[in-house]
This record gives sequence, C-alpha cells and structure tokens, in this order.
Amino acid sequence: MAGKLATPPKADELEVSVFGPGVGECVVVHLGGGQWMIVDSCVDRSTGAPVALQYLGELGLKADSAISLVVVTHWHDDHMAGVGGVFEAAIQAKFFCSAALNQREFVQLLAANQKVMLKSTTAKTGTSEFSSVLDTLLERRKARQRTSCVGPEWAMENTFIYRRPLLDGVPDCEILGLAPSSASLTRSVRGIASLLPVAGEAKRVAVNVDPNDTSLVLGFQ
Amino acid sequence: MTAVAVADAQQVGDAFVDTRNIAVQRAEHLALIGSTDTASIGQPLSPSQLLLQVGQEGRAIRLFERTDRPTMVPGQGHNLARPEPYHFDLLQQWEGIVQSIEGETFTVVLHDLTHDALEHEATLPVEEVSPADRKLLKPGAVFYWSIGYKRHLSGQQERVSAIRMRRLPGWSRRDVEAVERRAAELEHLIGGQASDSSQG
Repeated sequence: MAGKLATPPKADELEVSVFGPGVGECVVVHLGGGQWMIVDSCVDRSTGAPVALQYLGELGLKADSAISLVVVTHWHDDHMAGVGGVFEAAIQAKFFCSAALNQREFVQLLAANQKVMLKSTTAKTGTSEFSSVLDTLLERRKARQRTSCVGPEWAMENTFIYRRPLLDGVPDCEILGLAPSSASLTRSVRGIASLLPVAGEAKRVAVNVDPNDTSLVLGFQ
Repeated sequence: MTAVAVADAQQVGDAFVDTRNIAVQRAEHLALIGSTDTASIGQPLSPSQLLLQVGQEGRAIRLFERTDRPTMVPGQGHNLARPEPYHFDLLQQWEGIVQSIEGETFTVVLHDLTHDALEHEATLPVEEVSPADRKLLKPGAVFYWSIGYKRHLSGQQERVSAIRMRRLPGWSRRDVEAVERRAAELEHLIGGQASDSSQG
C-alpha cells in the first residue's frame, strides 16, 4: 500500500490513489467535499481486507459516511476481490456497474456460479463478489436502510454517474461513462452466454472472457 | 476341491491378477478355505490354470481378471492392485482455477490451501498434468496441485509434484433448470430495487 497519510485531502482537493499488483487495481478517488468513489477492489495480502477500506481508515475516515460511489468496471476476479465487503461497509453509497451486466445471461451466470463450490474459502470469484453486493442491496431494500435506494445502477457511454456543481468553494465535478458502447453490449452477451451451463457438460468456474466487451470506462473532470 | 472352495474361488476371482506369485497366494487362500485340496499349495498357478482346475470339478465358473481396480483379499492386509504403500508428507497444496490454455502451457490462478490466503497467477506446462486428466483441462476447471515427499516403506524418499484435476459433476438438466429459476428470481429482485430507486 502507498505511504500512510496522516490527514485526508482538503475539501477542494482532488486525490486519486491506485492500489494493486498491476493486474487488477482498486482506484480510490476523493471527489471533493469529503465524498469518495471506489472503483473496483483488491485486498491487502497480509490481512485480506479491502485496501480501499484500509486506506480510508488510515486517513481517519469512516466508510459508511465517506463513500458515495462504489463502481465495478467489470466482473472479472482480479477487479472484484473484496468489493462485497467495500459495499457492505459503504452503506450510503450507490453501486454502479457496466450496463453490459444488465442482461439475463449475466444473472444466469451468477446463479450458476453459486453451484460451483471451491475448497479454498478465500477464493472468491468475481461472480461471487457480485452476488455478495446484490445480497447487500437486497438486505438494505428489506431493511429500508437507505431512503434514496438505488442499485445496481447501470452505466455505459454517455451516462453521467456523478455530477456536482461548484458549491461552497468545492469545485464542480462530473464523472461520465465512456464505454461500453451499445455495440459492445451486444457483443458482451455472446461472451457471457458462452460461459453458461449446458446439461451434460462438467461444472466449471466462470473465468474471464476476452475480449472484454463489458468493461465500464469512466471519464472524470 | 470341494464345492465350498469353488464358491470361494468365485468370490475371490475378482481379485486375480496376472502374476504367478499372486496366483499362488490366491491358491493358498483357496485351499485353506476349502481344506480338502492341498495339492495347489506352494505351486504357482496362473488364473487360467486355476480356472481349469476348478472347472474340472464339474462346476461352471466365471473367472474375472480385473487388475484395474483396488481389491482386498481377506487376511492379506494390503491391496494387491495398488502399488507399494507409501507415506506422503504434504509440503504445499494449492487449489487452482484454469484461466486459459495456450498450446503447451496453461495459465492458472492458485489459492494457497496450506499456509495463508495468498493468491498467485502462474503459467504451467500442460505436461505437468497426467495424460488421463488432460481432457479436463479447460478454462474454469478446478484442480489441486500438491508438492511433498513420498516416503516408501523401503525407506526410499522422493519429491513429488502432482496436479490432479477436480472431477466436478456435470450439469444435469435439473441443475440447469434450477439455475434458470434462480436467475429469474434475481432478475425480479433487481427489478424491484430499480423501482425503489425511481421512487427514492
């Protein structure tokens, strides 16, 4: 993890921190005004805890009030490690993911993965982390923990996921989806469908599909 | 040879293997059970010779030579069809998930089952997988990779690295239908949340 900072950024400061081994990262962004966005997730090797939560904790911030947005760019294992824990802690946050996942085939993939158990309890797959986020959303819906309940929110090109005007000296901020395009959405269905169970075939864990047409790309200004 | 012996010959017939020494052991066992025919004790008999001898008693008998599965002989104390017993000292074991296969190598994600929760990505040669398991080598397949010392009763010790593909059961039609039902439930639940958000 990057060097420990004693103090969080000022309200008008933009801060972008990237954590990760180089394949799969977690990006922690201070949007200004004490609001934070977490994009994807990875875990600390020694503790197994999500690095984003560790980092905010080191800054003396509380995840439940500091995190406004949790975003997953796509469902591959190396981008999802610990995201279930991040979202569980971020009780005020909206959850955004690629619109390419808003399709029957992906939900079938989540359901299928629940039937393929692994011996290593730490080996959570991207689909199991995604299921964990859905479970949290469903619990909150039942408990009415959030009055402004949203999620999952589906993002793609030309979708604003965050907009804040200049206010009290805190600069304005916009986050816009740059991908996937509608053409990518169509192609992604084929990729995910190729992973669905077929009667008679051996059960397997869903692994990454290349090319990755589902991934969400964000522009930040 | 008595009828009792014939019956026992049938019973132990499944364990016959095509080596002379084992045939002798079986013959001894047979004779001891039968108690009336000691002629075969100490005489090497192949299964087919034994079949002939038993058949001469006028009883129809089927003799199976199945050497491909583990079987036990009463009182013998060890498995005839298995190799010499050994002790395995496990040093390290991973659970792996195959990510992709590229010609003679395959890429995997490994989860440490021995020490901690460390996860590694690795590229392994396909030849590390036994020929019998290679047909299972597909993206998403789960396997176990064990490294350790194999200690034989003779005192010999060898370092072993073994990859065993996990044989997960196939998807049944009922499984697939259950997945589709669960997916429909999830879709409904997610849709319900979307409705809430529009109201919120």
